Amino acid sequence: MNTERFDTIITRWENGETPSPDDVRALEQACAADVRVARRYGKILPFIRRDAGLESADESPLRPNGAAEPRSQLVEIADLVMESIAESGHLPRRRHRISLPVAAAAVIAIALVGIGAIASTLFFSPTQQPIAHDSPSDTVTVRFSLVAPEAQSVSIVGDFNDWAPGLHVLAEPDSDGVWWIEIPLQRGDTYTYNFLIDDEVWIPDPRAERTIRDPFGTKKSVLNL
Amino acid sequence: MDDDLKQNDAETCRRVLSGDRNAFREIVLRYQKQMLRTASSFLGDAEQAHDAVQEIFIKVFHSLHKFDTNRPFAPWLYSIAMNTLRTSYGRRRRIEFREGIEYDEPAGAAPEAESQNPIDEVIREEQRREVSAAIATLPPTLREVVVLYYIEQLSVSETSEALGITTENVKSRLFRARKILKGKLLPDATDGAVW
Repeated sequence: MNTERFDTIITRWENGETPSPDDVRALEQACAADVRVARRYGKILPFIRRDAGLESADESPLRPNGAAEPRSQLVEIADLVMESIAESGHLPRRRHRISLPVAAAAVIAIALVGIGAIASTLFFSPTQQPIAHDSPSDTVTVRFSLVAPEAQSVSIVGDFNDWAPGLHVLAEPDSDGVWWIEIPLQRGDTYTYNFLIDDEVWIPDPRAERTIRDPFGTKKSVLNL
Repeated sequence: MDDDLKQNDAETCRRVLSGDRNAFREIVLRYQKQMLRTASSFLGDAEQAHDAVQEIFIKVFHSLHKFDTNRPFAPWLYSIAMNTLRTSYGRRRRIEFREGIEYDEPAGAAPEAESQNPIDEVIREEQRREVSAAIATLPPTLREVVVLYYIEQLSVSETSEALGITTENVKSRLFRARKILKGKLLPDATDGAVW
C-alpha cells in the first residue's frame, strides 16, 4: 500500500494544520485493514484524532494507565485521602474566618514527637521589625526556623502554599539542629501556618505571635506582616 | 464541559466549604481516575503517581476556600494537579541525581500484555508503551500540555487556565511537542511505503 497520502496528512498536522475528520477516518480504515499500516501510524493516530476534534476511546494508546486502574486501588486513594484530611483536622475555610478565639499555647505535638522544638520567624517576628531582605516593594522575605535535631525532614505549610506539604521544605539543620527557610510574603497580609515534621506531625510555631484554633480544634500559628 | 457535572462540582464544593468534610469523598471518587491517568502520564511511574494523586486531593481540600464555585472546577483541579506533579517530578529528579539512578525506559512502562486477541492486543499494548515512553521523554513544559490536551482532552483554553499560561503559549508548546512526538513515533519512510 502506498502511504504517501497519510504521510502528507501527518506532515500537515505536524506543521499545525487541523486534520479533517475525513482524513482521519481514511487513516483509521487503512490501519484497521492492514496491520503494517497500523504499526506505522497507530501511535500517531490518536494525536491526530484529537486535533481533528474526535474523542479518544478508552483503548486509545493515549490512555495507558487510568482506564486499566483496578477499582480497589481507586477506592484506596479515596480512603487514604479522607483519612489524611481527618488527621490534619483542617477544613478549608474562607479567609474572613481567620478571626477565631486565640487558643492557649500548649505545644502538645512537640512533646509527642520528643523533638523539643523551638521555632521562630527570624527576620520578622511578632516583636521585631523586618531586619533583612526587606525591599521597598510589597514583599517581605520572612525567615522561619525550627530547632528539631531529631527530625528527618521539616516543611512549612500555610496559607501561602495552600497547606501543601513538600512545597516549602526547610534547609537541613546546622549543628544545633536548626532548620530554616526564607519565604517572600505579601506585606500587610495575615498568614496562618504550621510546621510539618517528617511528613507526619503538624505543629504550630511555638514562638509565633499568636495561635488560633480552627473549628476542629487544630492549632495554627498566625503571622501578621 | 458537561453543565450537570459543573453544577454537581460546585454544589459538592459548597457542601465541603460549609463543613461537610465527607462530601469531599465525592470529589475524589469523581476525579481520581483522571488524576491517576494524568499523574501516570506525567511522572511515568505508577507508584509515584498513586502517591501524587493523594497529595493532589489533600492540597485541593486545603485550598478549596480559594475556589470560585461559579467557575468550572476541573481546570482549577488540574492546575493544582500540575503544580503538584511538577514538584513531585522535580523531587524524583533530585533523588535520582543524588543516588545516580538512571532509567533505560520510563518506569511506568507496562509489562507485556497477556493477549486474548493476538495481533490487535499486542499491537495496542506495544503502542501504548511507545506512546507513554515518547511522552515521558518530552521536557516537562511540553509534557504537561500534551497530558492535559491530548490525554485529558482539555480544550486549549482549559489547558491554558490549568497551567496558568496564555492560549498562545499552549499552542506554541503543542506545536513543538508535535514535532518531537512525530519524530519519535513515526519511523522515517523515504519511499512513502510501509514495506
